[in-house]
This record gives sequence, C-alpha cells and structure tokens, in this order.
Amino acid sequence: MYRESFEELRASGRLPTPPGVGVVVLKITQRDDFSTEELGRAIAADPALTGRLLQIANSVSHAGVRPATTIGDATMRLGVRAVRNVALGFSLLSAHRIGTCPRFDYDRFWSASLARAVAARAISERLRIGIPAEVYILGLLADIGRLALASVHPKQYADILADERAREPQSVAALEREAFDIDHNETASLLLEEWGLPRPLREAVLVYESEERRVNVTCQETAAHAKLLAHATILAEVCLAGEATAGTSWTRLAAGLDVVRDALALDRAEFGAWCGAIAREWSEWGQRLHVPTQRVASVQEIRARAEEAMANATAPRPQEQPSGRLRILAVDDDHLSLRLLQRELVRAGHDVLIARDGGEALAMALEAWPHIVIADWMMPEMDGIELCRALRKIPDGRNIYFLLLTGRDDEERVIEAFDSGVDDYIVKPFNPRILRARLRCGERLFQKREHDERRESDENHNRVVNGRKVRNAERRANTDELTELHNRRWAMERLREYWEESLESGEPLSVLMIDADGFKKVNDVHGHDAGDVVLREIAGTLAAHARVGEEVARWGGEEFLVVCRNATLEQAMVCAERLRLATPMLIGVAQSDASMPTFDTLLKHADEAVYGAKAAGRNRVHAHTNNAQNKKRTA
Amino acid sequence: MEQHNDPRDPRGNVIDMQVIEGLRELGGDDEPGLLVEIVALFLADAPQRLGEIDRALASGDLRSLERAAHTLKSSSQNVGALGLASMCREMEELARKHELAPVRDVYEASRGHWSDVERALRSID
Repeated sequence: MYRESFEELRASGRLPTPPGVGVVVLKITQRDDFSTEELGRAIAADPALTGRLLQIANSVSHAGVRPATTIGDATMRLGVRAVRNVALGFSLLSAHRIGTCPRFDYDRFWSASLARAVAARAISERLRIGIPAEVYILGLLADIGRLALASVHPKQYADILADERAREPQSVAALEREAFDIDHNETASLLLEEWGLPRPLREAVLVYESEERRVNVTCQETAAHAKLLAHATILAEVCLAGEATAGTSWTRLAAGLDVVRDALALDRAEFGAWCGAIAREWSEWGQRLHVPTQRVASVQEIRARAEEAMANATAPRPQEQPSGRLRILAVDDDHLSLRLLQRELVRAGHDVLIARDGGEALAMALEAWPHIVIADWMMPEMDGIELCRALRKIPDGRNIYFLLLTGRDDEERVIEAFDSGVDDYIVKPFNPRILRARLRCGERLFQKREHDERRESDENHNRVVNGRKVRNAERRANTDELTELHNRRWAMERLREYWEESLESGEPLSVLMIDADGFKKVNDVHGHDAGDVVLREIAGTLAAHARVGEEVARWGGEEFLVVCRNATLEQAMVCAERLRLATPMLIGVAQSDASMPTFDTLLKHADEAVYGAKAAGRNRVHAHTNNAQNKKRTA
Repeated sequence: MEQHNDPRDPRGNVIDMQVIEGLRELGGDDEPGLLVEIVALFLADAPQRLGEIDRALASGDLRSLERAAHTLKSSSQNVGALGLASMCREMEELARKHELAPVRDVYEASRGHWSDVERALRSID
C-alpha cells in the first residue's frame, strides 16, 4: 500500500512543507478550539500572504458588498476552512519555487498549477461546485505530488522525466510506482490529507487524471471535483501551449476544449469569452505571484490550428500544375452563363470543371481541389456565398481563390460577400478582358501563397529555435551562474523599476543587504570549491525562505540583496529575521524615503546598516534609521 | 409606373448585335458552333424561366420570382437581349423589395416582348 511508501518519503524530510506562517496556520487550525481571531493574527504576520488572501476574497464578485480589507472580512466571506487552505496553498507556492531535480521545470510546474487553479475556480463558480476559493487551491495543489517526488528523489525523478514512455500522466504514474511504489496522485492525496483538506478534494486529486478511475468514484462530491479538475487541467494545457510551442497537439486541445464547453453548457461565443477571461486572470495572478505566464491562443485559433493539422494529415494534396495553367471550378445554375464562362476559361488555357449548383460544386471542390472557384452569387439551395463560407471552413478550402459572379445591380451588396471570405468579384455579363485580368490576379496570389507557405514552414521552425535561444540568453544574462539566483544586473533593473513605481504610488520600498557571515573563513580554510558549495547552500536557503514580493539576488562575492517591494522597514525587518534564522548572516535593512535623490542612497543606507550589524557582532539584523534620534536597532 | 412599351435599343433592335459578334468571336476557329449553341440554349431556357416567374407570381413566392428573374436577366444580357434584361432586372428588384403587385405588369410586358426577341434570335445565322 502506498501509505507505507509515503512514510518513507516523509522520513526523507524533503517533502514540500508550508513554511513559516503556513505551518503556524496549519497547527492552529488542527486544534479544535482555535478562534478566527487567532487565525487572522497568524496570517496577518505575513503581509504578502494577507494581500493575496484579500485578493482572492475580493475576486469572487459580490455585488454591492464592500471589498474585504482584513483577514476577518475574508474569513466572513470565504469561511474559516477556505481561508486556511488559501493561506496554506500560497505559502507552499512561495516556498517551493526552485528545487534540485535537474529535469523538473519548477517555473512551468507553478505556471501550470496556477492556470489550473484559475480555471478550476472559474468552473467552480459557473457550475456551483464546492467553494470557489478552496477549489482554487485544489487546482493549485492538485499536482503537488510531482513536486514532492522530484524533491525527495531528484535524480531518479529526472530519469523518469527523461524516459520516453513518460508522455501521458498515466504512464508517468506507472513509472513512478515502479520506482517509488507510490505515484504523484497518491502522494498529492496524502499530502492534502496531512494538510487537512477535506476528503472529496483529496480523493479528487487521486483520480482526476484518469477517466477510468474517475467514473468509478461513487461519492458524488468527489466525482464532481475530479471532473472539474480534469477540465481545469485541459484549460491549463491550453494556457501553457501558448502560441507556437512545437509539438503541441492542437487537435487534442481542441477536442478537450469541446468537452469542457459541453460541460459548461456555453455556446461558442460565450465559451470563447469565458476562456479569454481565464487567460487574463492567469496572467494577472502570474504577475502577483511572480509566476511566468504568456499569451494564450484563443479558442478560435486553437480550433483553426486543429483543423489545419487534421487536414494536413488527411487531405490529399492536389497535384501542382505548371505555372499559368490553373484548375478552375466554374459554378452557375444558368446553363448559358456557365457555358460562356467555361469557354472563356478554356480559351485562357485553364482546366475547367463545371458544376450547376453550390452543393455539386462543394463536392467537386473537395474531390478535385481547384485553385480557383468562380461561382454565381444567386443559385438555388446553396448560393455562391454559402459555398464560399463552406469552403472557408475547410482548412485547404481557405487556399482556394474565390471569385464571385454578381449582377451589375448587386455591387452594393458585395461587402457581404467579402465578409464571407470571397477574394474578388466579377460583374455579369463579364467582359472577357476583365475576367482574364482577375484570373491573373488570383494566379499571382496563388503562386505567392505557395511560396509563402514554403517559407513560413522554414520560418516557423527558426522562430521556435530562436525564441528559445533568446529566452536562454536572457536568462543567462540575468542569472548568477554559481548560485542560480538572479544576478546584480537583474537586481539593479528591478530596483530601478520599483523605485520609480514607489515614487509614483507612494508605497514604501525596502532592501536587505546581506553579508554571508563567516563565508570568508570557509573559503580560506577549505578552499574555493568548498566556498562555492557553501555559497550555493546559502543561496538556496535564501530563495527557499523568501516570500513573494521579496526578491533575492546575488550582489557579488558573499553579498546578497533582497528587494522587498511595497514593504516598510518593519516588514522588511520581519523578512530579515526570517532569513537570519534560516542561516546565520549579517543583514542591513533600509527603507526608501522621499529625500533620497536616487536608489543608490537606499543601497548606501543598507550597506551602512550592514557595517552597523558587523560592529555589533555576528549574525545580526540591523536597520538603518534616518530620523534625528537615529536609533540603530539591532536584533 | 414605368412604361415598357419600347424595350428596343435606340436603333430599334431587340438584340444588341455587338454582343452577338462578341459571342461569334469567342467561339473563334476551334469552336465555331458556340454562338449557335448559346442562342439555342437561351431559346430553350428563357421560356422556362418566364414560366417560373409566372408560377411564382401566382403563388406569391418572392424568392423564386427574384431568382428566376435574376437568371433570365443574366442570360438575356449574354445574348444581347438588353430590353428583356432590363425588364427582368425590374422584376428582380421589385421582388427583393417585396412589391409583388407591380411585377405582374412588367411580366405581361416581358411576355409580349419575348416573341420579338425569339424572332430576332432565330434569324441569326
């Protein structure tokens, strides 16, 4: 039974755990006699967490209700259980942004989890399943088992990720069970149990990835949550697929979206808008939580890409013809006009197919794939415009040059025709010279299209490769090679950005200058290699204990800088204390004020505070205070 | 109400001979029979269309009326029967505007005009 394997995982001490406030919240709420006030106080100790909680309490729309501004308000609105679970979820997120499994993409993991969270909540609201705020956290943590297994067994898990068989969640789970006797769903479920999430949510996590397991669930609440999670996962995949990720199975995504749309009972337009809102919300939450997001392809785009992919796989490509000679399908219910048109086309040297109504024309077009279709507008049953619309719905049909024949008196109405995808029109009875000129125009476009298609497929490939190169280069330029933290350059950019933001908004900005106390000694005694190991460890500890809104960078040598956005000196001191308790360090803290000409002064103050700390002894936090009393506070 | 007493062109022809020459030229050397074929098609087709218009008028089917008038209009233009074509256009427009009553007058005029058109076309060699 996998519970035993879970105990082994726990024994490793490397399972994801909520840090600081998260664990306090957990402990408080595990007692039977805790009070709401107590919970509020615990959460309020972490300003960033408080902010997120209020955001989620307020993002569930309650018309005419004033926004929640305190933890108490949020608790009233969401309920104690939801507040506690939200606090837990966010503290887990902020504490596990990096890790040691070489093949595990931590950023992508949280990006996907966040997208699933946002989508899960949207579904929960629409279908009235569960408590939306709690379902949000369920979405966020549904996959935490992967992170857990990667944390406990970084090397073996990297092997699983590298395994070619690890394509579908179910095959990953099988490999996990083979290696660890427990899979990520089971791990996630037991972690959620440990963190006290309600049973239907834990059980939903256990089964949501497999339809087979999902339909065998007897508890209705569990089944509803599992289905919701499965649908949210489809939407998360859509978010992560972005615009041009190579290897994306658009057909699978499109099919998935259809399933979700069915479940939500929305029409196409509504569903498109609904998905758009999810993409926007994902990006907003991504900014708040510093989780990367990207532009999301619209439902329409995905459908178009899927159709394209399907047609590329199945439609027989028409044989290309020598330039100048085109395969043209002429359609008119009027025999006489059709005969004349056919004669004109033959005389111009083209191969001509004829059809007498729209339906016949459509069938012929799908068989013969003409380069050009010339169709009369007015025909019984399927008219020219309907034929054009029908062709435009088929991927290869979009490449057909469509010429509409109209009466002299219909010119006013051709706008409608163009809106339906018609390329050009000819007024009947046509002047043969004009007809030939229009055909040449179509021909040129056709040749250009062919040329572009060839080039585009090359460019697409290059774009994917280059995009990756650029992103890698950017990452390298902003990352410190040794510690893999952000580097000084990046920190300066953030500082400049937040400095300006703070000037505008009047919000405070604070920094922590950190001197890795005692590092020099290690370096001197044990050599540079040992020094590097220690530096990396310190960096890992800092990153693990920093919260959202506290950004850690390597400043140089054994110095680190933490930028605390929108934080007062007091709040920054709390952060400094938290970091110092995690690993012994000298920390100087300073807050910006209006009198500083540039943020260099802020950095200088933080530096001075480090000297103050050093003067007072080892392993200390020291605040730079600017007022007349100039009390140097040390801890 | 517009009058349709004289649907001939300024020279008194019911058929524009330039259009006929154009058709002859279109046939060229490789399809010399095109003109005759087209005229024959028209002579077979037009009475059917007129019949459709008649039936549509009787049943008040505006859609069929519009479509039949439209088709006859374009084929009339193709053989140079411009007077007939303009009558068809008028019927088509009235039908589109849901004005069924005045169509009857135009239709009667076009029926009368048809025999002139037919005679003129049959005389082409």
